[in-house]
Amino acid sequence: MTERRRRRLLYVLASGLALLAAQAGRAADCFAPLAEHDKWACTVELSTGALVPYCLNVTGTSGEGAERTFDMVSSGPYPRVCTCGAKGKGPKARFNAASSYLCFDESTDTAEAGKITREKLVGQIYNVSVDVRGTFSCVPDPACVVPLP
Amino acid sequence: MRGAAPVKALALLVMAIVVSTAAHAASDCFEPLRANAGWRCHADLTGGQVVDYCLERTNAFGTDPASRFFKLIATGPYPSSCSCSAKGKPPGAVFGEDKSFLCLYPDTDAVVSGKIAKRRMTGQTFSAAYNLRTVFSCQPDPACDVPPVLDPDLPATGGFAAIEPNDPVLIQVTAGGPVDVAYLPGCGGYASEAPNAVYHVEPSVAGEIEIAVPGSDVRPDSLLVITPSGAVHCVDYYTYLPLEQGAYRAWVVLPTPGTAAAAIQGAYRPE
Repeated sequence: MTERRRRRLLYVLASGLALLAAQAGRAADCFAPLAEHDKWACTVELSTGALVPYCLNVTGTSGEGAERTFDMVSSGPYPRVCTCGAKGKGPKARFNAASSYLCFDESTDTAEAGKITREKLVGQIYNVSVDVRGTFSCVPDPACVVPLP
Repeated sequence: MRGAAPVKALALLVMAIVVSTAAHAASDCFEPLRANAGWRCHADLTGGQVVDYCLERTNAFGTDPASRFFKLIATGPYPSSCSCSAKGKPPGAVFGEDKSFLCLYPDTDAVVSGKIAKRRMTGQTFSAAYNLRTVFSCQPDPACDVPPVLDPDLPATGGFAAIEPNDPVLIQVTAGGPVDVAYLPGCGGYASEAPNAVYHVEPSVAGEIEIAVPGSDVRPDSLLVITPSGAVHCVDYYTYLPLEQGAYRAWVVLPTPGTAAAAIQGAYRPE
């Protein structure tokens, strides 16, 4: 192998690794898939036994870094404010950096927790005011729009 | 030796049942809380601050895990409603049987997600009201207890009544109790953990709800009401509240710990 070919091979390998690292970094954050897909089609199975389809849309973000929050709304409309979870434990935890997320829906007193990847959003809800639980799964769907008043 | 085989089979069966029961119990987030009510916790916050606090499991409601919920009170006191999460994916998820859990703290608009094992509870918190995040870890500690708080979900000690327009209902109650209600904004004194009286309202005509403690103008007791939407009102003798569908929960509060006989009247006053 000539020196020129060896250098070219090393360059290709280094570029590939840098690309993979960048993708891995993005994938670790729950918001990256939402920046790519802001509309999702979901189905929730409620503890009452009902299976309910609905849409979930990202409506905005505020703040940056560990302080960033994002807003989502589901069919109803039911708005919620969310954050990505922390990666790591204890004093080394990196806030707002994980693929997991937490949301609070003030309109229905609902807690939501889940995980967002590029092609799937899964999680669970607990609605305190009516004492109902749900487990849901969503996929990106640009046609799934939540009508707002 | 001919009888040894059935005995061995029976022993294996009993062992399998014991193991399966233990495995079931271990997988539920509530079992460790049933065994240990008090937990000592350490939280790391956004910005590098740390907080040490106690967490106490108080009342649990319902026997079916799919609808059971329980209360966790953090030092403050900050009360929360919690539920074990579902096991498995939809369709066919088994609700309330996972070791993971979700809680909601209504006072701070905070959501908690975590896992509870026999010797350890870990999780994350997000307070939407304060845009605050934590990661926390707790261990059982019987010495860790939190001052008692009101629990509006407990059955009323004095009674429950549905009130109709222009038909006031008087309920005899035992005022006071061990809970120092000063943790609630604008309140002071001592009340019972459970409401003294609960009035259920189905709005039929426009109007207001009046809750009063007759005779309270000549006694040192006062009135605390939590409306169906969760608003807390502390007043001296009576209060007029906006009409809502649901339960108005009322306590008679005494200035010092102890109890006394009293009565609460609920009335639906049409416009």
